[in-house]
Amino acid sequence: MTAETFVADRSSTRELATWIAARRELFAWWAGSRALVLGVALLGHFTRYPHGYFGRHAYAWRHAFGILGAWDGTWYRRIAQHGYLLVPGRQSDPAFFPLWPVILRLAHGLGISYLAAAIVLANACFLGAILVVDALGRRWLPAADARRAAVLLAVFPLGAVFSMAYPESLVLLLLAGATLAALDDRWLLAAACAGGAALARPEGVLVALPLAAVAWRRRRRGAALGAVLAPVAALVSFPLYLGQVLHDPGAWGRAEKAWGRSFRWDGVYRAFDTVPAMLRHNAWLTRDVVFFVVYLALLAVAYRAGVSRGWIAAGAGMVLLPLASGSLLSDGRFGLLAIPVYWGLAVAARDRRVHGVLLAVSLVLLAGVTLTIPSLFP
Amino acid sequence: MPTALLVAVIGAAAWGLQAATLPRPTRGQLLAADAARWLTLYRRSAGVERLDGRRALRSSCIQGWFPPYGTGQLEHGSALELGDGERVLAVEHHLGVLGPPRMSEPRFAPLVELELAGCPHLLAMRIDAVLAAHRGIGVWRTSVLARPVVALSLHTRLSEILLYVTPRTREPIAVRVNAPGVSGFGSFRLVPLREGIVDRFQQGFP
Repeated sequence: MTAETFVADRSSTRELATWIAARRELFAWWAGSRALVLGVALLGHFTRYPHGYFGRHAYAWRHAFGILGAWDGTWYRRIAQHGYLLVPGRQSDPAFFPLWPVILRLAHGLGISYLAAAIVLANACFLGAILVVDALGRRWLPAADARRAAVLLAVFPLGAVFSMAYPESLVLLLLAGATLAALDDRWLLAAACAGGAALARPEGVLVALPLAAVAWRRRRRGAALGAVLAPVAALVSFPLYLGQVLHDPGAWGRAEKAWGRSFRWDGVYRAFDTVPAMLRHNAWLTRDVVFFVVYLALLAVAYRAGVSRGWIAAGAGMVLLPLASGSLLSDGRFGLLAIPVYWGLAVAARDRRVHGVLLAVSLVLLAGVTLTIPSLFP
Repeated sequence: MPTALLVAVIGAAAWGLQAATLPRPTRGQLLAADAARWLTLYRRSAGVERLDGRRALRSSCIQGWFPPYGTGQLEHGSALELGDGERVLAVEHHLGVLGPPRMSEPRFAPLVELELAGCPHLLAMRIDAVLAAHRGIGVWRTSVLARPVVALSLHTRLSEILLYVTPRTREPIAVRVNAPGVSGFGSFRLVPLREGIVDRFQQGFP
């Protein structure tokens, strides 16, 4: 090693240490909130309480963190193991997008179990997402607001999902990463992130809106326009793939129908019309109704605070578009990807006391949401 | 980089990632899923079935809501009417048989009779169970009642079902069932459910 490379190495190590030190608060909140989620999941494993919908010998009880691999996590694992198969008239796996199971299968190829791979990757991606959301927020808001938003994201009550075997943390990272890359004029990276987001969750395609806003404002074409259209290209690849392997490009829509979701022109009306009946059937669903209202209010706060209109539109789409399927069910989870919600929350919590109360309440609710996973799917 | 090239690269990479990584369904699974699709389109089947060692009987099976305990509370299931007057009802947690008593009836005979009649809901459930468990499905070409067919071998928990489907449309037309102590063959047509038939069936299950 020459003296120059030695000095350069020392300097880059010092830079990394400084970079980490500047974000110590975010690392701490990520570690703390994830320890809470994993700890409560472990407690659920040992006590098997509440039992919820899980049978005595359910897969979820067999592993220490099994409840984090439950519900949709089971379907993603099945796709990773066996690929797609549409079973007509029944709930089947083409309803789930492919990037997450693709990654799980690659990780499993390294000798890691599907559940372990999913939980490690989900939590690692969530750390990345918190850091990128913090950096992204600084482009529109004061640094203190951006930091507060990232901290509130770390403890967000429904954020237990970010530790589950679900693709949400990956998508959040890719959505934020795509926008940050676009703002830095790194359009190829933005295209890759945006494509990945749309291949992991259908809401990912909405990242095209903030990317289009950046490209329009900076009068960029070529690669920038390519990045705007990249999520659409990735999204289209899924039905093409299903057409190739299942001989049915419409398998996603057919599978969604079996899951009780079919997009109709009067879907939004039906979603609200069915709320009283839904609540009579299962009072837990109040949660999705409450979060739907909270999300819309926080998007309005973020808009007033000066957050990019492209991102406000994308966030509103993430909260509102699932309603077109005729149900508010799981809208609380779908809205987790609406990043401006966290910026709105941070602006609303500028008062130190409000911020403190929000943190405390969020942590209690985060533990509660984790504990009730067997009773209520996210 | 040109817009079109970047979009094409992202689309191709996304497709390639799925194609290169995820396992594909087997031909047997795809054929079974197609057969299940036919079965979900119909709520009635009519045909002829024969338990091995017995005479052939006409069969008519419908899928609907039935009152299995005479309480008036309806449960979803399949009801079968055979040429000798026997009626079999299978709802979620109940299997009932009405009709002339038969000597030394094997335990699984009523269930096998339902399967041989091509009861759409019941057969679809059997296929679903095999697909959900990702059990292997044997596939080969053969002929049944002088018609070329594709045979699908489905191993359920209780029995082995050979489902015969037409090669072109994959519509199920016949079935052979081998269960413990009882086996048989049935050929059937999936037919639309007409008004009045459900009422007639329900009257047979007071």
